[in-house]
Amino acid sequence: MFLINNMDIKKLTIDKIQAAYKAGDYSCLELTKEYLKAIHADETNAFISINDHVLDEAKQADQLLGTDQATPLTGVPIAVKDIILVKDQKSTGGSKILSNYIASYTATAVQRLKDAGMVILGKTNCDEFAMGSSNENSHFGPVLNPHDVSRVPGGSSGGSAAAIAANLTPIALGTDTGGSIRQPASFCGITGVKPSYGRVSRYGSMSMTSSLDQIGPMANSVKDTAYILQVMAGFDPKDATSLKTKSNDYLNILEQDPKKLIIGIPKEYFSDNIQVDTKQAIEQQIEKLKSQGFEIKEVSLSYTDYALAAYYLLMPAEVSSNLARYDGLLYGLEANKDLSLDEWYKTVRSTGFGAESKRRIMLGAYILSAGYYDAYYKKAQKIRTLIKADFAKVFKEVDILLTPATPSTAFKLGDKVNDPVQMYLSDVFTVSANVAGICGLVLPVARDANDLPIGMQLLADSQQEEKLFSLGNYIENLK
Amino acid sequence: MKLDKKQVKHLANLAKLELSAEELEIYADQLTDVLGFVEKINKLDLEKIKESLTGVDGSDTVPPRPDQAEESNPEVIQQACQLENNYLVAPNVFDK
Repeated sequence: MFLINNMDIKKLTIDKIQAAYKAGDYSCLELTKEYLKAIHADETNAFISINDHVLDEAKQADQLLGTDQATPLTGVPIAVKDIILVKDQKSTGGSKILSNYIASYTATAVQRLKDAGMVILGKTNCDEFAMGSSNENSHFGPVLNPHDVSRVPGGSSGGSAAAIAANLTPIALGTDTGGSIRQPASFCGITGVKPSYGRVSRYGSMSMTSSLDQIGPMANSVKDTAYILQVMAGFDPKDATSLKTKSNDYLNILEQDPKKLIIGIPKEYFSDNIQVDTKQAIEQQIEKLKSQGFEIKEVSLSYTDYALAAYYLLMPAEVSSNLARYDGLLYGLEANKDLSLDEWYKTVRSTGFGAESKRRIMLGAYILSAGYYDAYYKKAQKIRTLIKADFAKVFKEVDILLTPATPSTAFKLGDKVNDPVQMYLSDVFTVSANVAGICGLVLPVARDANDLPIGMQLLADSQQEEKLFSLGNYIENLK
Repeated sequence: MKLDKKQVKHLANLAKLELSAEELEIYADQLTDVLGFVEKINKLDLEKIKESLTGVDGSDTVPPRPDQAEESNPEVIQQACQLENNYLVAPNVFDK
């Protein structure tokens, strides 16, 4: 169905697109129109809005292609998670409270990609303010998993993951606070990267948990995530938590032999709580790498079991502060102007926030209350120290860790929606990386008995993304 | 730690949220479940451990920018609920 005028938009990568442009197979405008057609016919609800100016942007890109001003990203279409701001475009964060909000500036990460010539197709669906693991918490309705529409795509960047899997875009941006790029990438069978904390500017990304949030790339190949991160990464004076150190050359590294990397297998990630198919698929990958001559060591991350608990203290505390800004005064949903200020706040917030947001805001209010701050929040900060030390110790022995991305493949819509703790557990393998500030990559490696994608996770120390790309690219080509 | 409806109502009030009787009941159960889950942190002896504010240690970040007054950007407030001469008009703080 995607083969129109010899244009095949299935699983496109940056290199394939540039080769097609160069060969004159199609123009950026033609490719963009093809994606728009696919988005209009989409039944997964992956997009919230389309960029009204996308055809103009595509025409501009066509003019640049072939000139010395073109970059490897010129004319490459991209979709942006709706929690990330793009000037003059609707940016809802998946929330009713911002359902009509038009962004007045562009996120630094997006601006850098636009400056490199990328064409923004539109904004993708997500859990409200990136809070969820199934994309069922969006005011704009759930996203369906393109591999089985009775199942969730994962979350919170579910729209971005589904859009790539359904061939509605070759590239998308997501955000990852506890696994929100990696878990949906795993459920939808695509590749996603959570950069080290501070590697990408958070300016223009709606804050959820400021000490954990990162914007990251999602794509059909490891190399494409490297292309995108290379351009997005780097210090931004508008984000005081962005790192000063220049990032390495990720693309150059792809050409090098990854076999000098020592791979660690953390035993805590292979408990009996994992779906059998997932466990077997990852173990098969480990065997394959062994037979290829990689040095593989079993290691232990003894505080793994506490990471998710610490996360569910740190995150709600920061959420309750960050979401205090949504009061309907400067932007967003409004109330009757005759109400008193207190009534106004309560009306706007009670009608504007969904159930999960309310749950986390109240949890945060509780955790930060006098008397509980020391008992909960302070302790969670101490556990963060232990988890960081755990990783620091392991990364003295090995270069990279290899784990399953999620305990199971995509679950059914509605399965976990009334049981928050069960829902939270689907992030159990991804959340430690956020707490410790390190980087992670998820790529598809197999299918389960229901033909659903199984994802594998690679983790590397802070600012060692090149190791993820190097080994990830090798594994991708090994299949 | 079991949260009752009265405590949830108090939290909702702190968070400027209004909840129905049915919501109070649901949240009381769900918040109790989540607090039960995070309770496991109390198994650890954390007495001598220092706290970490983020994953990075701070040596690779810049110090805070100087505090300088800048012209405000009227563009960012154009979607405010009510503007008068580029000032935000808020609802009454005290009851009339």
